[in-house]
Amino acid sequence: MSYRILVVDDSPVSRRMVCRAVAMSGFDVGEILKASNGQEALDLLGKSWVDIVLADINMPVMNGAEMVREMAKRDFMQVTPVIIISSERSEKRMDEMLGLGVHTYLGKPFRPEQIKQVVGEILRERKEAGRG
Amino acid sequence: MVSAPSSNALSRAVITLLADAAFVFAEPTTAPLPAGENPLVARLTLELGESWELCVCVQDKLGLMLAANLLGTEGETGEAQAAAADAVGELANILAGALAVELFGKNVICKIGIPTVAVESGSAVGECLGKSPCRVNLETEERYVMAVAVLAKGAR
Repeated sequence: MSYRILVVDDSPVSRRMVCRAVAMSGFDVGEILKASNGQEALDLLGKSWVDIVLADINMPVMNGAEMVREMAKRDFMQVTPVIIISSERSEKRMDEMLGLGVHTYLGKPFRPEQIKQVVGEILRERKEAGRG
Repeated sequence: MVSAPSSNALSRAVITLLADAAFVFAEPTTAPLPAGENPLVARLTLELGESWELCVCVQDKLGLMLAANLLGTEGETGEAQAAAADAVGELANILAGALAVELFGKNVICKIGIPTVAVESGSAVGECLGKSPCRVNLETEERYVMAVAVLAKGAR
C-alpha cells in the first residue's frame, strides 16, 4: 500500500531535505505533498487524505503551532499523525504540541534515520490499528 | 534584561550546527570577511519582552557550498546557486533555535522571526557586526569565512 505524506515548511531547502529523508526511508511512499505554511497545509488536508504530516513551526501566514491547534479543533489530529520538525527547542512549546496530540517533536537539524524511525513507528501503529 | 550569549557559546553553537546540518567543518578565526566582497546576510529577530537580532554573514561561495551540501547535490550547480540564500536563511533559523534557549531558557516560548536574506555591502555589514557584544568569525576547511553576531535590536 502506498502512503501519502504532507511536508510543511516555508524553506524550499528544508522541504527538500525532509522529502529526501522520507524517500530514503524505504517505505512505500506514493506521493509527497508540499505546503509552505500552515494554511496551505490545512487547505490540502481538507481536500486529500494524508497518512502523515511533517511540519515546521516557524512559518509565515500560519505557523506550525497554529496549524496543529487548528487541526485539533477540526479533529484532524485523531486521524492524521503529525511529526513536528523545528528549530524551536523550547520545552514549553514541545509540551504544548505533544499535549495537542502531535506524535513526535524532532529538533532541527535532524538525522534522516530519525525520520525513518518515526515514520516507521507510525506506519506500524496504523497497520496494527487496522488503518494501514 | 538578558545578557548576550558569550562569543564562545555562539562559536560552539555555529560550529556544531555547520558540522551536523551541512557537513561543513569550521574553526574560529581572526580573519575578517574578505574585503571587496559583498556577503550573503541572513537576519532574524528573537523576541521575548526584549528583542535581539541574529545576523549570519557568509561569503557567496560558502553559501553555495552550504546549499549544495544541504540539497545533496555535487558542486556549484544552478540548483545550489538558486538555493544559496534559502540555505543561509535556514541555517540562521536553526541557529536561532539554539540561541533562544541560551538567551531566554528552555521553559518559555520565544518568538523567532522569519529570516530575511540579502546580499549586503561588506563595509556596512562590518560596521554593524562591530557593534555586537557577541560575534564570531569562523573559517572553514576550504578557507571560506563567515561572521555571526547577536545584537540587541536597535543596535544596527
